[in-house]
Amino acid sequence: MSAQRASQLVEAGLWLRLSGDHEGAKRLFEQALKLDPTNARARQLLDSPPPAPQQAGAVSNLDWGLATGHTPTPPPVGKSTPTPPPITKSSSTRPFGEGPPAGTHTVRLGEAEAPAIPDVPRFEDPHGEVMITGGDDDAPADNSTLVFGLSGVPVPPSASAGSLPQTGTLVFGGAAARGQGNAPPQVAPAGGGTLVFGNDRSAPPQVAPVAPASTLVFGNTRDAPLQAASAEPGGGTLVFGSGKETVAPETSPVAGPASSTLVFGAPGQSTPPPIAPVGESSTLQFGTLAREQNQVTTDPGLPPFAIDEEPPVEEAPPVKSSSTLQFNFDDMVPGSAASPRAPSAPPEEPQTAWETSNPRIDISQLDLDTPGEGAGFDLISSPAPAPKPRSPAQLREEVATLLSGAKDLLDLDDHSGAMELINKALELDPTDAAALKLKDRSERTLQAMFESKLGDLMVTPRVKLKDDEIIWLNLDHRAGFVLAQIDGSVSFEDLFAVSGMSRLDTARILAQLVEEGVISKG
Amino acid sequence: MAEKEPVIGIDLGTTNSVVATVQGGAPVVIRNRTGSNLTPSVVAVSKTGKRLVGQIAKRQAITNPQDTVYACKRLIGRKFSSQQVQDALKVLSYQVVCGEHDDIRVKLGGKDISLPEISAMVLRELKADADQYFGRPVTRAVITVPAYFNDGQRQATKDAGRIAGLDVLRIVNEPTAAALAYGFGKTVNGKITVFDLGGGTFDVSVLEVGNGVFDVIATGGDTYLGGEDFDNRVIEWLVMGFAKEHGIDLRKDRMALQRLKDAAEKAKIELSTVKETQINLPFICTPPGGGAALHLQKALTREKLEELCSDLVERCITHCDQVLAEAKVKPGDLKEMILVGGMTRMPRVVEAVKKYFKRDPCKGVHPDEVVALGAAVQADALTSEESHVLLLDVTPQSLGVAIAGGYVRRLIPKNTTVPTSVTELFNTSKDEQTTVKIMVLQGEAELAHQNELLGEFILTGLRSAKRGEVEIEVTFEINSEGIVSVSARDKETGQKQSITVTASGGLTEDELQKILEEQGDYMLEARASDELKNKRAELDAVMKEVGDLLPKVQKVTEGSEFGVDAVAKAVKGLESARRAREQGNLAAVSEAVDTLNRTLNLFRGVIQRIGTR
Repeated sequence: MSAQRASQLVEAGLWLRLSGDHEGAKRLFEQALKLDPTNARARQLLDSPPPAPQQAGAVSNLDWGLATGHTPTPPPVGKSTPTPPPITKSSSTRPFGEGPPAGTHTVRLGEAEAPAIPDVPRFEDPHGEVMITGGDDDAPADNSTLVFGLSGVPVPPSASAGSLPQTGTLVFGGAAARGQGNAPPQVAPAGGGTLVFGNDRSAPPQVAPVAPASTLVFGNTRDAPLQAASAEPGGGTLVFGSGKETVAPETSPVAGPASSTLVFGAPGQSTPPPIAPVGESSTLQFGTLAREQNQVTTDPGLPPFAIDEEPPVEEAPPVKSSSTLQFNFDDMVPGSAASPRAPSAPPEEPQTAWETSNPRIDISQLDLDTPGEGAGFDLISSPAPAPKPRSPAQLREEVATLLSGAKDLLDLDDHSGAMELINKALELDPTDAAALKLKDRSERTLQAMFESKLGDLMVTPRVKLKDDEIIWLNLDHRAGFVLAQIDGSVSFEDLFAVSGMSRLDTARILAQLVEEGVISKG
Repeated sequence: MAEKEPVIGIDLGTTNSVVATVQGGAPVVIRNRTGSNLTPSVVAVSKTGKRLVGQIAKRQAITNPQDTVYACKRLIGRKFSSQQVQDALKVLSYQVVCGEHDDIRVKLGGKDISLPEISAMVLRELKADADQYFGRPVTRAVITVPAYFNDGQRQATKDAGRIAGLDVLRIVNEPTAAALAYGFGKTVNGKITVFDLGGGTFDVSVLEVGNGVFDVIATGGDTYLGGEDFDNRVIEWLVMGFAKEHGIDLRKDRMALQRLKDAAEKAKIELSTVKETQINLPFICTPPGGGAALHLQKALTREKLEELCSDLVERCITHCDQVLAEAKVKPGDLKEMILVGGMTRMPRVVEAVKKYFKRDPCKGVHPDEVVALGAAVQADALTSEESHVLLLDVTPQSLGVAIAGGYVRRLIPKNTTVPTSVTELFNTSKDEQTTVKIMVLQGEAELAHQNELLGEFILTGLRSAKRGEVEIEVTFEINSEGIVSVSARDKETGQKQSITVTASGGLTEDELQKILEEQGDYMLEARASDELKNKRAELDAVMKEVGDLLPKVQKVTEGSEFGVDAVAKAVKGLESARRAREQGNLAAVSEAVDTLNRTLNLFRGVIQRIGTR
């Protein structure tokens, strides 16, 4: 019973974390661990840091229902999967904090709204590496790790993963710190090339190093990552767009010589595309794959993808904006033509402190099934997805879970966190009596709390800062409106009346302004 | 000698209202509770259910448009079916419905409220400020109305005063009040003009002043031209600039629009005295996709403002032309020119008016206070035995009957001193006519249908004869209460029919009585609410003090039997005080205050005796 309760708390905590209330989430994870000390997920979430603040807004709009863990994480690739070789000194993947090895650069493109980059880095691959030209260092290293996107920190080395000469790894975007998502890409060993564009939420692609296999992942793989099966030499895998829910790879098929798999768009939650076809066949998937598969099988006679000795592309694609990434497929060439394909390693637990605190950005939950401009690629600017229909039983279960979490938070006196969960529950079922009752209770308590911070409501507050100081505050337009009404002639009580917002919202804003020293209590 | 009972003069404006009184022989404006001379004529019920009047109601007018009533002066005393009302409905943001007698009701806070009640809320606010100023209740007032108001509109204004608890001594024309404020009744004889550009309306009047009588010769203007139009030009300019810069239309966000309106008005006022002003609206909106809130920062020059509003000033001058033509006077014939309304502070307006009237306007009285000050002068004159100002009640508009051909025959011209009586003979207009319909009309128009119909009756049993042979004597009588009686008598037979017309502001006497009773209940509630508020504040203070002393008392009395008992009682007392505070029951709160005060005294004594050892 307590284990079940703990699980519910973990779920509720995840809601909170997504909505940006990391403190509330932490409390729930701690509560879950108290109830069930063996709850590994709770421990892991507690240990793992919340995602970067910029993400909160975007993530909060996501359809969590499809990613709450109802779908099991795909099993690791067969037991025979070889352990990735240890990191060797020749690898340019480096622990965080260390200086970059000679000849390599770690590039991070923008944290939020990256402006257009005037000087697009040029990619060259003279020795089976992905590098940026123009570096002022010598470039003797055989391997490079480039991390593009929002993670904010360079990709760390994986203790278990090693890089061998002739290996290149590029990660565009970031992976979220959830589930197994902390594990960085397992760097392909000898000759293997791995490119991950976008985000792999739960677990990043585990591309086992079997030379000369190449794997490119564009966009997002959601809960279930791309687990490239052991591939024979010459195999290539590309995933464009988003794998949603389950992209359970075929673990058994083995990519035969020169086999290629291309998945464009967003595989849906049902049958995943076979990623590693056997033999000469190539699979290309374009667009959105929701529930049914859109498979376009290419002519078996086509040559395998990206196994060229010399990559034809030298220039990186220009980044137009942070919200729209446009890739020229021709430019995206895996690291080494000679990389042999290797069986993928199972996702591993975080090994280092860095790994557990890697704030990986997760945009993988964006619903790429939504048709629209640039679907599958216009990841960040995609409109918010329409809520998926749920069965009444599912709804009840979710509401119950949320309310249970809310009650726990209320017991812990975290009314703000509780309100988040209650509001979420009411979004699912606006008529739920228990939720409405809890909301009322919470609102009253919160209101009393905020009002007590204000003191006598008949007092006339005053702005303490000058106009040129105010503009440096971090306020939203609602707080700005309330602040504009404070002119030394209206009391707190009057402000409740003129704000045009609910009394609770106004009290919250006023309490915040008082707390931050923007206004005085009389 | 008993102190003279205070009396006030009220300028009940479309946009703003002002209250004034005469003190030490000089008229002065009474400031409102926010320290301002002007009280916006805006009434609202906030989202939290609170009734708001004045500045605070204005501040939320845009964020709460459905429950904010403004410019009700444009509608008061009119019929719902009238063209003016139907035109007004197109631009009002609040809901207006038709009452039982074709009168107007406003939906406010889920209730249908008559317009005199709405005006009464504003008047009550002004009365409260006056009460506070004098330190005792004020019950008598003179209220001003536009010169073009008919009897119905004047009566509705009187009803509003009555609902607000005021005995309205007299309703005075605004231009007359303005002229009185300058003392023109004593010093000037001749024609003067009053140029009144207010917040929402523009009126221009020509008055003939002589021997204490103020005769409004002509009046005109535009009921939809005022300071708000100037504000809107500034808002438009700001919105366009912001849209150009950020691609966001601020008008779509009510909060942003409210701030823009406030800022535009402020900037406009500032530009009357300075050449350039900064408009600074931090965190005006959040971009649609999220992210940091944007600021609006812009400098507005007087030159730019004048450029934006030049056509509005032109419109004012055009109306002046029309009114002067109607009054058959030339600008050069006018002895004085008075500027009324805050907008006449704008240098561009002053310039245009000076250029047109070819003279400097009267100076010395603030344009937005002048009408209230004049009303106060009148109020003082009415109640003072020493006053030398002769004040006469006059008919605001002409009274007459409809005659053949659809025309009007005026029996009592406007500005006739009341009481008065006029008799005139009429003849039948058709052969064999045995009945005659008497239609009593009020207004200045030549055509009958363009005037206000006050009432009608039929005189029957006339001798059958050729047209013009039968004579009918029609008598109009207005008594000192303003009640109009019209009678028609067949001179041959002596047969008589009559009608009594009492001006109606849209409410029947029964309705008025009911409102007055409800109002009494509301006043009681409001008083109780104020009392509760004060008691709560008292309770909060004493609770805090007891709470602060509790640990100290606990410490100094530790171990003693007294300590345990006293502390336990104090804790219990605090707990019940908290409950009483939440319940909002006045008796319970008062009791809690008393209990805690006793505890506080005890604690203070304990600390003093034991704590200092």
